[in-house]
Amino acid sequence: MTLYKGKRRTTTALVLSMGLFFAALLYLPGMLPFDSQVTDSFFRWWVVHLWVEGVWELIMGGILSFLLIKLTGVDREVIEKWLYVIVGLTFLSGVLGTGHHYYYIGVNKIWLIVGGIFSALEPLAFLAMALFAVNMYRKGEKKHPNKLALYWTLGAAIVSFVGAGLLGFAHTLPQTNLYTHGTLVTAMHGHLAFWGAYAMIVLAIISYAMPNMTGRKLYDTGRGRMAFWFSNVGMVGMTVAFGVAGVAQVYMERIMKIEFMKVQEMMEIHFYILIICATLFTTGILMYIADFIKHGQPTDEALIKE
Amino acid sequence: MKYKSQKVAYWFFALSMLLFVLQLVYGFIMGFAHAGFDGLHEIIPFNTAKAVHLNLLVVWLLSGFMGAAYYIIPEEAQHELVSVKLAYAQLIALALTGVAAIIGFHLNI
Repeated sequence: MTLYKGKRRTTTALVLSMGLFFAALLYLPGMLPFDSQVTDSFFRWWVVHLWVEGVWELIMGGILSFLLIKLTGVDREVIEKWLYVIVGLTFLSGVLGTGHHYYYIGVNKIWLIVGGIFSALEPLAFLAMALFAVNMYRKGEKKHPNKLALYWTLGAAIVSFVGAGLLGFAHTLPQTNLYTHGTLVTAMHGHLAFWGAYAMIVLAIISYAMPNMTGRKLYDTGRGRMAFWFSNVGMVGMTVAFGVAGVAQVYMERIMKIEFMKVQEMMEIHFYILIICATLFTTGILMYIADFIKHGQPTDEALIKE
Repeated sequence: MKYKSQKVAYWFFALSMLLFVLQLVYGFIMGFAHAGFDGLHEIIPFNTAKAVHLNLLVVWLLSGFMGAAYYIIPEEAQHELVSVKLAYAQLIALALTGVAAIIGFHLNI
């Protein structure tokens, strides 16, 4: 509504709104009731996959563009041209990439080929985002004082490529997925992907918006930096722990054919490591929240008169 | 901040942070369960913890996205939000949905 009445409609705003609108729309297939587990799963992925590998990427692209315009001072034209490329790549690969959730769950075998090919292309959208963010940062002449927001923005672009793009690719081909389907390998990919792509972009926009809304300019606090590094190192550690556990699980369970619960017991040691890394991660997040609380509530005094 | 109505974003962000902390709690429950300390098994079995962990993730991210939109859109469109009340209604609806889902998972419906 605001968009209609607004003075201008920018690509950034439109992509963001479209993302949110379709996210709401795509929530619906998940509520269709089916008697068959297979059909139910088939439509369930319309929600889950088309959210995280479709429209949420639009939301992320929109937020990323906004932040880069504000933080680097590069021209809107340049940034939004990239945004078009990202949106194009996302839909090209993401929609049919849904096929990679249809491996070995009882649907038509054609999805092995479709999912394999298109989901192999999916990292491209994230690669584009990472290149885009780093290039804009290099090009940028304006140095915005909000360093923390810049950390989170670039962090999101890069970690999402590693977590969602590379680690996703690691188990997206049908030949690999035959072994890794439903193991901790998925948890490995899921944790770094969600953290990099979506958690960090939300933390980035919060870091950017909070000083502007409250007028307290905690742009570059020691705690804020520690929050960034603690949580990232913690999450990478967790991902490695999941990955090692996942590979061990695949080997013991699927190749050596050891019984499921026995394998679970043998993997317990990996979860000690996981808990240690998760503690580091949580420390980082609590520091971030401490900064969030320190900003206080927004006031009208923070309004900038034009 | 250029527009008064951008302040709505704060409450979405605050909800987001709150749910994020809860998500971490459930993550730890599962981490410990996997490591062999599944003391809460009777109250919060693994499948419940997993569903809540994922659901909280999705809801806090959505809350963050909505907050981001309420912050970004006025600035991009150069216009106050048309209805701040609608935004608050959405916030409450989102929070209620999230809470209802979590209670549902615990009751094993």
